[in-house]
Amino acid sequence: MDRVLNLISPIFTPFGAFIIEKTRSLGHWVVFCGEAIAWTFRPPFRTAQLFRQMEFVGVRSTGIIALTAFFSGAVFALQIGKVYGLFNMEIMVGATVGLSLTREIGPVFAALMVIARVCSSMAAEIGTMRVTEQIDALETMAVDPIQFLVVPRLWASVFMLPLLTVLYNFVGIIGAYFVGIYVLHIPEGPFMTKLYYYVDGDDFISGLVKAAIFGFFISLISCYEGFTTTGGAEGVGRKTTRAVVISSVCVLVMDYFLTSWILEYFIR
Amino acid sequence: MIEITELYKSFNGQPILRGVNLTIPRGKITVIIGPSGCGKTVLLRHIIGLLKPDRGKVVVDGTDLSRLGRLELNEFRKRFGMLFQSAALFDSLTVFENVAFPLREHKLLKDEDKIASLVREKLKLVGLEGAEEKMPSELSGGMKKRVGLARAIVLTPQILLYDEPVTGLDPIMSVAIDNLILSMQQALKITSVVISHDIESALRVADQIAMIDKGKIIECGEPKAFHQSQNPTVRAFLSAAGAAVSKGDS
Repeated sequence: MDRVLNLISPIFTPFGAFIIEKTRSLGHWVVFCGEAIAWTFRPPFRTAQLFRQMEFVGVRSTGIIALTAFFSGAVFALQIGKVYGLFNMEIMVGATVGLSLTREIGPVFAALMVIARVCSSMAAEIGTMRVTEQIDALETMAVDPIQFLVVPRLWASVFMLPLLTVLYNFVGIIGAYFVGIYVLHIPEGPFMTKLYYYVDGDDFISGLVKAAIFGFFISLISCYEGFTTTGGAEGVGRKTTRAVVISSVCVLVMDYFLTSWILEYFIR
Repeated sequence: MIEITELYKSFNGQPILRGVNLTIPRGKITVIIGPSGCGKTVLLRHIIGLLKPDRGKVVVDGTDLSRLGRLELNEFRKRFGMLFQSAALFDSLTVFENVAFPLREHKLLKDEDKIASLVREKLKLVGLEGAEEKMPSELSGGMKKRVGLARAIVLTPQILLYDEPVTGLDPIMSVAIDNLILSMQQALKITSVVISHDIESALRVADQIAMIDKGKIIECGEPKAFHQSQNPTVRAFLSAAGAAVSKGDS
């Protein structure tokens, strides 16, 4: 028995240590989320900080969101148009792009762009504050750093990501319209009729709900990674990368489960 | 008064503090010295509740910090001011905004004119009048520490903690900071705890010197008594500092 244990122990010990470490990290993150929610309802309410973050997360992301939305809508219409052309179904391009954008591409791509532009910055900024003792300084001045740094970023992301998704959907459809009408020469009437017919409020709202949930998780992941930074500049770089990778993977994994849930209970 | 009793702390199984016992008298300057990595900063962080001990307690004016909840601890910290080794200024705020931060945060003064006047008064106290609009990146190491000190005293704390206030500064600036510590003490009559490994600076400012080594206080007393200590580690520390000075003299 001892020989067997000695044999398998080098294989299972690191695996067990890995699982324990990941479970511990997840536990810390859940506690961190709980604290962020709890501090939301305790005064002082930092509305100025919230608006500053909403400007950073939302207003300053509009340019990059509009640019990527236009070209993703356009390229999607181009690809779909070529395939649908084989079956003389080009008039369905508007509806297909509209459905895809409102249900999936809009919230997911808007979240990915916010991760790239905003969440990386959140992790790097908070991480730098951690390694330069600025977070400790906040604590010594009797200011809770979770309330001061995390709560405004959390709710700014939850409020602004749905609005960015609306922008993404709108500009993406304009991109698809431009390619559909002027490149693929689809008649405008049927293109728009099918778009109005197939895309309804439920599709739009399901995308916005997803966006708000993405905003909640990506902001908390990024802030947590910043908060747990150690080891100077190298640590800040490592944690910023982790924040971007974990947030992106989370968005894509969560998207599947949210879609299953929404399709099962809300969209027939 | 701050009473530290049987304080133990480890990080990743590595013991840092191994039963620290120390009494810090009210209204005096206590300097805690020791070699790098001996646990001085860890001890200081326990005094303000930034770290929780594995064992033992820190009692500040009769209140055991480990028994306070997060909100109570936050409230309790208002009686502290702390100057960090790196000054820890908020790099997105100007000097003025850094010093005004605790006042605005705790809404102690609602009138911006009064805030401005108090900030200028504290900056003048640390010899930095006219630097209000500078960003932390435009300041030298010594100036940053003086801004950090102005921020630490703006709420008129009862206890002021200094983490390595003269580390990395030239001798002239070190003496200037030491003089500031002494003048703060005389002006505000507060309890000061200074972490340092500079024995000369310690002898200049201290009412009481405690030496920490291998996670324990090995000597504690008034500067004169400390200087005459027969503890071999203290002697080695003093003679190393003395050797450095005499080499510099020659």
